[in-house]
Amino acid sequence: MLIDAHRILGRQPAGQHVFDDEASLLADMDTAGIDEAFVTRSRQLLLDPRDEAHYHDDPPLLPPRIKEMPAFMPGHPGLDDARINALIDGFAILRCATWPGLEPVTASTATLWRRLADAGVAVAVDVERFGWDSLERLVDQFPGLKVLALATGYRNVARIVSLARAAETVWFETATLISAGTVEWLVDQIGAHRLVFGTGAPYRDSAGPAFLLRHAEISDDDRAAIAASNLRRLVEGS
Amino acid sequence: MIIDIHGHIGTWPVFFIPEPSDEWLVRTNRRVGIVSCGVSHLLAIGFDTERGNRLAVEAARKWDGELGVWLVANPTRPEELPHLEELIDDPLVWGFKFHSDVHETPLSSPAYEPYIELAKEHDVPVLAHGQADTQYSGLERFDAVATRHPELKLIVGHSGLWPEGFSRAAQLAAGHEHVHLDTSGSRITGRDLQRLVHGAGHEKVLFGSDAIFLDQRHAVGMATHAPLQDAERRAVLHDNAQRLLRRRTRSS
Repeated sequence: MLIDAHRILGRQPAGQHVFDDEASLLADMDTAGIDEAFVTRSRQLLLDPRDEAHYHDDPPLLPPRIKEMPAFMPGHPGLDDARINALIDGFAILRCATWPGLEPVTASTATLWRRLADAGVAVAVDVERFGWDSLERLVDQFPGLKVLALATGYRNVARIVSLARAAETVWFETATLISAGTVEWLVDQIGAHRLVFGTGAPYRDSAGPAFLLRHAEISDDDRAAIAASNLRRLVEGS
Repeated sequence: MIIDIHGHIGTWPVFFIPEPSDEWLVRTNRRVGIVSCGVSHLLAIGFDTERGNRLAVEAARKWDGELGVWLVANPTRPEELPHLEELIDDPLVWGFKFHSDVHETPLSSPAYEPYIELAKEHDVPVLAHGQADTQYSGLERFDAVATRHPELKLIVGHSGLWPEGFSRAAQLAAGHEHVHLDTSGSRITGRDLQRLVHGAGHEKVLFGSDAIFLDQRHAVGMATHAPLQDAERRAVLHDNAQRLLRRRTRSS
């Protein structure tokens, strides 16, 4: 079983990197040998959250292979209690959307983060956009919050180890852990239980990280944990 | 059976590479079907050209053709040219590696001319770092060099590196008989590779991994699952490199 924790579906302003519909997304997953994926709609990362109202008649994403990971934007003035309640009630993992200049971890967003931590909802953050400093601040200030760090970058493995040792409730997605031998090295340093398979498709290739994981020199138990069971535990809370 | 046109050994003083050795590179290559890989030593690119080049040749000698060598040419150190003249005829050497961004010298600068002339004289390719958004290795620099030296075998490392450069890289290769592209880079997808192959021609694209800077298993997974015809994939993974190198690789 291979579950992709990091996928985007839908239009992009500039065309080439896109799965417009679920059929093309499923075809790409089949090519890479990926069984299930947690998927965020592109508009929830690209638009002002108020524009979601224009899409109220969109059908839900198709389970069981595609599982929705809706986005929220901390600090956006339109993020009200009703929306937060609906997300907490409906989903076990959410994706954090950010805008340039909109700092996600501030005194004014503390209540939101605390509510998510108290509810046991996991939050996926794209570190390329969220920023390492914000991630470290988030983990430090909200120690109970379950955080899945996406796209940490292959140049930051030392920082991953440092953060993993400082906080038990952070997991790291593998899509960008692609410097030579990084997966094996991180398994040795922080344990396979802290890694979660993901691709970042369609912005990044999906077959590459799947092939890498299949050919990693780690135990079958560690491979299975990274491929699926760590993420399942993260979202099911067991 | 895969030939990897773009590899490295050694450490890089910007971030931590867990597995910088030739031993790890070759062992992992064998696990995923890479029979031969051309490497430059990162020490040669960044800090000490001659020592790094000699280390690369020394490492390649251990592996019976599973490693070839790209000799790094640093245009800011013309006094180092003699060691390149000494090493260029070693059968383990595949050609020259240019990294104009690290050396802060435009690829089309006259400072590269002695190395280009040496490459032409010995009929070996030049693998040059190609990064679409920089003043040193942007694709217009490759166009200028290829126009000035139409017989030079020139490989655009990373095909421009960023997705926004891929279509221009494909046009560039399609427009110059001896310009090739390589697939290495962290951002290329299987669909990007398909566009490169269709834009440049399947005979113009070479598999590259950028290992050990990157992990070659990621690159192999991308290229072996990309939406290509079988003949296109064979050309990219193996045949084009073998034809271009005409030197000793393990599969030749």
